[in-house]
Amino acid sequence: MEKAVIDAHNISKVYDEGPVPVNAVRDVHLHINRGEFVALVGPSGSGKTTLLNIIGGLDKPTTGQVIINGVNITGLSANALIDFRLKNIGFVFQSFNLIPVLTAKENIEFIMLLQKIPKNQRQERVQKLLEEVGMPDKGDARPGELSGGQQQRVAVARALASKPQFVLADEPTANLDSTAASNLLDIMEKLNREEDMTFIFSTHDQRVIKRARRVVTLVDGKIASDTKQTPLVHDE
Amino acid sequence: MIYLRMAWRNIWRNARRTWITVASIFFAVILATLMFSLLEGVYVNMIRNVVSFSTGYLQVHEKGYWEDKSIEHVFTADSASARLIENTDGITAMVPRIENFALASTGNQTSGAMVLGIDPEKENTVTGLKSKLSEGNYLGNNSRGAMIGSGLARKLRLSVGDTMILLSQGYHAGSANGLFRVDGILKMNSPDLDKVMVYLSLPRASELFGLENQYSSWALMIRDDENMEAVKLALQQRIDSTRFEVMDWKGMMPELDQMIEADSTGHRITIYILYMVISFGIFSTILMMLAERKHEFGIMLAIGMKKHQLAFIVFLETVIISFLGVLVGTAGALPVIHYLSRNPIQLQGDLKVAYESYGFEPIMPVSTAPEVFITQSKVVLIITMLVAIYPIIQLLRMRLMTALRS
Repeated sequence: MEKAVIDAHNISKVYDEGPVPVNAVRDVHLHINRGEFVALVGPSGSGKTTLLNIIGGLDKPTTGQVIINGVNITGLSANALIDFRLKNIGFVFQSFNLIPVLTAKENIEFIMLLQKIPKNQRQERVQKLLEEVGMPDKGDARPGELSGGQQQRVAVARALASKPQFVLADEPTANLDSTAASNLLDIMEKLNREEDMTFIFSTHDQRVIKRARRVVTLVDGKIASDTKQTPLVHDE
Repeated sequence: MIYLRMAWRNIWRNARRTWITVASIFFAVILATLMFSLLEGVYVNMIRNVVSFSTGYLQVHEKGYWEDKSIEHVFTADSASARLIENTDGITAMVPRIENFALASTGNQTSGAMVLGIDPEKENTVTGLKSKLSEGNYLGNNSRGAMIGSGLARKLRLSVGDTMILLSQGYHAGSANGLFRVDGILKMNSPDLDKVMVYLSLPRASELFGLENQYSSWALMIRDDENMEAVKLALQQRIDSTRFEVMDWKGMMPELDQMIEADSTGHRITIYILYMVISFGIFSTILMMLAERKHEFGIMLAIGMKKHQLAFIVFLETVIISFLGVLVGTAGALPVIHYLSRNPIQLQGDLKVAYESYGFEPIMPVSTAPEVFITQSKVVLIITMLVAIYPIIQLLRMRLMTALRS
């Protein structure tokens, strides 16, 4: 059996802020191995984003624990968790992902700056990542000057900048047209294949689900199914 | 460096709002600087006006002189005491004076006069008395004539070359009277002094009052009026305190000091209100900036930035906006103050009468001292840092998930 990158045990999340408590995630067990290309799917309100946030250490579960490479992240302090995320997890959000006052290059470099990586190494990696996401000549553009698809590609490059263990993407194609979504998926698939990078998406976009190799379906906060599939090869 | 770059770019994301905030600081700084400069200028001028022509900033006289200001309280000026006083640190000039009241008369006109025996050259270096000369000649060290204020000249209908009689009481109750030719007429700043002043050379005043190397006082000028108390203390320790007394102008003219204190309190309240206006302007700008960037802050925290790093960027933004406001405000205030320093505001109407009744020149000069600008800049920057505290606390308390969902 492959060694799990992520091991989520008995995860539950109850939102107790309104008049009626909401069970967003109920007793979820999930193991994700290195190099997987996983889609967390389900209807709106099924708990996929909540589960993704808990796995990524953005949110704390009400019960249960998340162990990433042997580290129980649910027990980490806020600052330790930030450091952990910085070193181990890359994030791609649905939209308004990038820091608007920084150029594409600076957005990618920013993560490495926080990690105190020397300037020459940063610049080299930024250029490499821009090439990998097919935007070698867009480095000086600000997010506002890029299309939605281009912004998401820069977000992927930024997520990879710190060479994380895995990348979490919350509905990354939600605001993209077919071509842009397809391009983005091509890039992520390539990185997954060539660099053995683990990707976990929350999505209800069929375009993404068809390309995933493992599909975890959530219904009412519970895992309804967890299936491996042969992805649909993108027709170039 | 990246933080500074981000802060700089962030403040220009909403350029209109930034400029409105900068403009509010700009106007507040201009107003506060102008007001502060006017206050400083007016008070310094008031003090200089009155003090240099009357008591001096500090005065050494015989013990008991100040109570009755009688010619009987003159002291013999020995050179050892004079050297001791003159060499005290902080003292820039020492002028000997003989001071007595007299009746000035010509024809059938009589008026009260303040007779001041002076060393004309020394007096000029201290008070610039020569520049007040409007007609005739300035006194020489051994002149036998007199210089009088233009107000007194008008009252006695005297012109240069005319003579007047001075009638007073001399030393040891001797009779003091003499005939004096008017050598010069002075246009004094203070209308009160202009109506009473009669200047004689020291030898002529000594002759009139029957004195021999005796003075009423040594009027002292000091390098820095902020340092007056320290110089006074040093003097008190050096002189023979059984014989001499040291007084400062605040002690000799308490009504002037109290008037300045009362006047400045009112103006300072206005300046504090201006500071409050600035504070609320900056405060609301920071709050708006935080509110509209909450999601962005969430993203930044999610990807690995710490809250204190975010807070530092927001703090830098606040400082940059304030610094810009202070900079353009100071740049705007400079030409106005420069113009006013060359063309002081001339008071009119009741205010003019009020100033003159206190013996002040009826003008409003401005202070161009660097402290005026530095103080305002410092105050605004400190206010900025203080008003940034609350929003920064809010930022440090921000919950990541709430920010991401916003």
